Amino acid sequence: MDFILFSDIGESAIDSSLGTPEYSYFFVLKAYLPVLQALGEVHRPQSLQELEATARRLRAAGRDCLALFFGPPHKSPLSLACPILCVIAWEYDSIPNETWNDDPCLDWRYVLSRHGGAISLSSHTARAIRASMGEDFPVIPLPTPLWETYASLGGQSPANAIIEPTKLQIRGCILDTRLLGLSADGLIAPIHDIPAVADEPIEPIIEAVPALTWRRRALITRHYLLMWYREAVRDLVPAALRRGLSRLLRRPSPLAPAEPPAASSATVIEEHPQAQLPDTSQLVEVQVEGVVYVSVFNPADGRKNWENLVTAFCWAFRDTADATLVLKITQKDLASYYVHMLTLLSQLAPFACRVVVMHGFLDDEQFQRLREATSYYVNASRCEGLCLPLMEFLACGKPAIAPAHTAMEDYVDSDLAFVVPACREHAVWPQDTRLSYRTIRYRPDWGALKQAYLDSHGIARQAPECYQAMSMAARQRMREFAGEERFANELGEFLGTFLGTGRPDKAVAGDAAC
Amino acid sequence: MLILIHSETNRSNIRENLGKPEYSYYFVLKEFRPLLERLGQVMEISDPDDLVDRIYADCQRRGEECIFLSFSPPHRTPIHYRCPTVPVFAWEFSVIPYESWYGEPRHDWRLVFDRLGAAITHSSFTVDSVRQSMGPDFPVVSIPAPVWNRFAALAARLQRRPVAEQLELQVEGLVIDSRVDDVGGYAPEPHRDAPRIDFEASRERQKLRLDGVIYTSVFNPYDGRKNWIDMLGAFCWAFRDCEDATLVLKLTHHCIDDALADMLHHLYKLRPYRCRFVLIHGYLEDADYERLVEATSYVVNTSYGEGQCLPLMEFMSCGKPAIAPRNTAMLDYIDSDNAFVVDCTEELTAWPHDPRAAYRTLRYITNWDSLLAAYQESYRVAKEDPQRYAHMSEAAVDALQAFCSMEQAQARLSAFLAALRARRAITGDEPCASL
Repeated sequence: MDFILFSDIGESAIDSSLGTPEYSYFFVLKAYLPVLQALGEVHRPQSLQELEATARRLRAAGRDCLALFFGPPHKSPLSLACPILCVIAWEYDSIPNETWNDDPCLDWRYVLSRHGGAISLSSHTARAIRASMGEDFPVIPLPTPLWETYASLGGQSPANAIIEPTKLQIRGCILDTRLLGLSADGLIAPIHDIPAVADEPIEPIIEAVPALTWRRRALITRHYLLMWYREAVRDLVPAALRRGLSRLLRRPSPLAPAEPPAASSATVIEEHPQAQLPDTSQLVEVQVEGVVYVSVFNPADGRKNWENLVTAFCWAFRDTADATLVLKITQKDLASYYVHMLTLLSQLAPFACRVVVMHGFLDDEQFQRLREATSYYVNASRCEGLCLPLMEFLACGKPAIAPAHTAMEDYVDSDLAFVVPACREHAVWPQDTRLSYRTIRYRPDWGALKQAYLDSHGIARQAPECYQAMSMAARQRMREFAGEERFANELGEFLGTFLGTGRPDKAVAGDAAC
Repeated sequence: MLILIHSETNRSNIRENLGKPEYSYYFVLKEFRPLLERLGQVMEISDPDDLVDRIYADCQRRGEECIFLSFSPPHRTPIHYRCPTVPVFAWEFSVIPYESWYGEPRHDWRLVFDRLGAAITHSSFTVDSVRQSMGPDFPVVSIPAPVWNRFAALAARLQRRPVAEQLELQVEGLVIDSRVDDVGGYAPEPHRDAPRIDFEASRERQKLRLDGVIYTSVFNPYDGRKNWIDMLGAFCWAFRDCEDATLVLKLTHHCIDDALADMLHHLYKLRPYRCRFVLIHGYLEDADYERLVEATSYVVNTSYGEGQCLPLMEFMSCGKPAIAPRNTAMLDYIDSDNAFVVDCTEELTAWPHDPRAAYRTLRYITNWDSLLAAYQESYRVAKEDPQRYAHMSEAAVDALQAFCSMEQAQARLSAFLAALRARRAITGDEPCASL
C-alpha cells in the first residue's frame, strides 16, 4: 500500500516555523513516518498541488493508496483521487460544527463527512469528533509512536531523582535567575510623586533613569509597560489611570506605525531605550543539579498556561535552593517573550530556587542531555492535542507533574505523575474569528500545582523508591501507549475497515481544497 | 468620648469617586456612624492634618477621651498624630504588605500597625493576616459594617419568594436588557451585525419588569477581583436554554463606558442564549432598590476575595440566599446552609496597590464547574424545593445577624476599646493614655 503524507510545512521550512501550530503537525508526521514506511511505500509531496498530482498518478497506476493530511480539516482537500484522512491534533471538547465567513469547510463536519473517517491523536478528540459526526463515524485515536526512539535513550536502570551536576549546552542564550540579579523594585523607577504617574506615566520614568543598566533598558520601554500592564496590573490600578495608561501604551509609535510593539523593537530603540537582547548565536552552557523540573513550550501559545507553571514553582520553592526549573523555549523570536519573562521573574523575586530559560536550538544529543538531567517534566496546560515533549520525557523514565485532561487523560495518571486537578472553563475554537464561546478547555488548579511541586520534591529527596517506581511506570506506560507495534496493529485494523466496507465513495466532482 | 472619623471619599466627592479604590471606605464610614454614636460623640472631619490634634488637645484639656478612626488603608493612615489613631480598613489577601516603595514607609503596613498599636478590620480572615505579621496578640479586631438590622427589618416587610412574578422597579439611568438590546455591535469588526448601544441615549426614568428566577449582583465592573467574566459565562452555560433565569447586574462606578463595552463584548461572545441579562447603571430610589432586593432569588458573588462585601451582606441580611465562594471575609458568613458554595483555589497575585505588581500574596480563583453547578442547583431549588429555599433564606438572615448586627458590632467594639484602654494603662503609652 502507498501512503501519501502531507503537512502544511515541509522539512525545509521547519526551522523557520518553530513554535507555529503547523510545527507540531510536522513532528507528528515525522513520528508516523517510520511505521508507515514499514507498512508500505511513502510519498511526501511538498505542496497541495503535488499532493493532488501524486494521488492521481498513483491511482492511474492502479496503486492502492491512502493520503494522510496532517493538519486541521478546514485546511485539508475535500477529496483526492485516492482516499484521504486527516490526522487531527485537537484539544477542545467539541469540533467546529458551525460555519462563518461563508466558508463551509470551517464546519469540520463538512470535510470529515466527505473523507468518511479521521485519525485523531487522542481519545478526547475522537469523542469530540463522534459527538458531532455520530457514534458510528470511523475515527481512531492513534497517538504518535515514539517509544522505540526513546527506549534506548532512557537507559535500562530506573532514573535518579536527584540530578548530579550536569552541564547543558545550547546554541542560543540562557537566562539564569542566579545570575540576573532580579528584583521587584527594579520594575519601577524611583518616582516620589505618585500622582504624577497618573498624569504622565511615561515621561517621568524615562527622565528619572540615571543610567541605562540592562535592567532599565529591558524594562523602561513602552513595550514593557504594555506587557506589564496587561499581565499584572490591569485589574489593580484605578480606572482613570488605567484608561490613561491604556491610551498611552496603545498609541502607535510614530516611528513604527504599522507594527505591533513586540515586532517593532528595532525601530523603538531609536525612540526609547529598549531591551538589549542577548546574543543568540553562541554555544552557551549552564550547569544544573538537585531536583530539576523541565518544561518545553512556546510562550506565545496561550494554552500552555506557563505563567502559572512558573509562579507556582517560585512560590512553592521560594526558600528551597536545590529546586531548579528549566524552561526550554520552542520559539525562535527571543524578543517576543524576553521582556515578559524577565518581568514575570522580577515580580516573583526574591526566591531561593532557580529558573533557567534555554533559548535556541538543541541538537538531538543536547536535548537528550537535558532529558537525562531532568527529575520531573511539568505541564500546566489548559488543553493539549497530545503533548509530545511530555510523552518523550515520560518515555525516558521522567515522571511528570501534569493535569489528566484532554489528550493527557490517555496516558497521565498517579502511577507516573503528580496529577494536577483542573476544572473546566469555556473557550473559543482557535480559528473562530467571531470569538464565540463554543467549547470547553480546562483551568488547572494553581494551589494543587504548587502542592504537586512540593510533594514531588519531597518524593525526590526522601522517597527514592517511590520516584523510581514512578519512573518505571512512565516508561512502561509509553511502551504500551506509544509503541510502534500497537500503532501498526491499530492502524492496520482501522484501515481495513475504513478502506473496506465502511467508507462512502467520496469522489465528489468539482470539490476543491478548503 | 469623642470619636473623630474621616475617609478620603466623603459626601462632597462620592459621586465622582464612586467605584474608585477608596470609595467603599465612605460607605463603611456611613455604616459605622450609628454604631459609633452608641459609644460616644462622633465628629466627621474633612481635614485631619489640620483638625485631629487640635481637637485632641482640646479634649485633653477638658479631660475627655478622644480617638481618631481613619477609614483608610493603613498606608494612607496618618501615623504622626498625638491623638490615638486607629485605621479601619478592608483587606482580602492572605499576606499584608511588608515592603515599601516610592519612598513611602507606610506601604509596609507593619510599620503603621506598630506605630499605631491597633487596627480595625472587617473579617476574621484579615485579623489572621495581620496577626501572622504582627504576632498573635496584636490588637486587631474584626468588626463588619453593621448592616444587618436595617436589612433584616426590610426582610420582614418583603415577600421572600424564590421566583419573582411580574415585579416592577423604576430605574433612573441606563438599562441594557439582552431581551431588548442587540449586542451584535460588540462583535469583532467583520462580524458586527448591529450598531453599538448609545449609553447616553436612554438614561431617562424607565420601568424594569423582572420575572422568574432572578440572580443579582452589585459590583464595580472595573474591579478585576469581582471576576464578572466567570459570573456571566457560567450563568450562560447553565441557562443557555432556560428562559426564566435572569442575571441582574447593578453596576457601581461613576463612568462605566469602557467596562460596559467589555461586558457587552462578552455577552456577544456567549450568544446564543435564552436566559436574560440585565445591566443597570443608574440610580435606584430606596423603594426601587428594595424592589430589586425583593425580586432577587439569589445574590451572586464570584470574587477572588472580599474585604467584607456590603451588597452581599445586605441581600443576605434580607433573606436572600447566595451563590458565593467561601474565601476571605466570606468565610465568616457563607456556608452551605445559606448559600450554594462555589469552590475556589488559591493563586499567586500582587498587593493591589503595589506598582511593582510583585507577587507576594494569594487570591482565590473560582472553580468554574462548581459555579456552574451552583447555578443549576439553585435554580432547581427555586423551582422545585420551596422548603429548602425558605430554610436557606432563614439561615442567611441568622448568619448575617451573627456576623454584622449592630448589637454584635457594639459588643465587639466596646470590648476592643476597653482592651485598648487596659493595655495602654498597663504599658503607659503616653499618646494613648487618654483612651
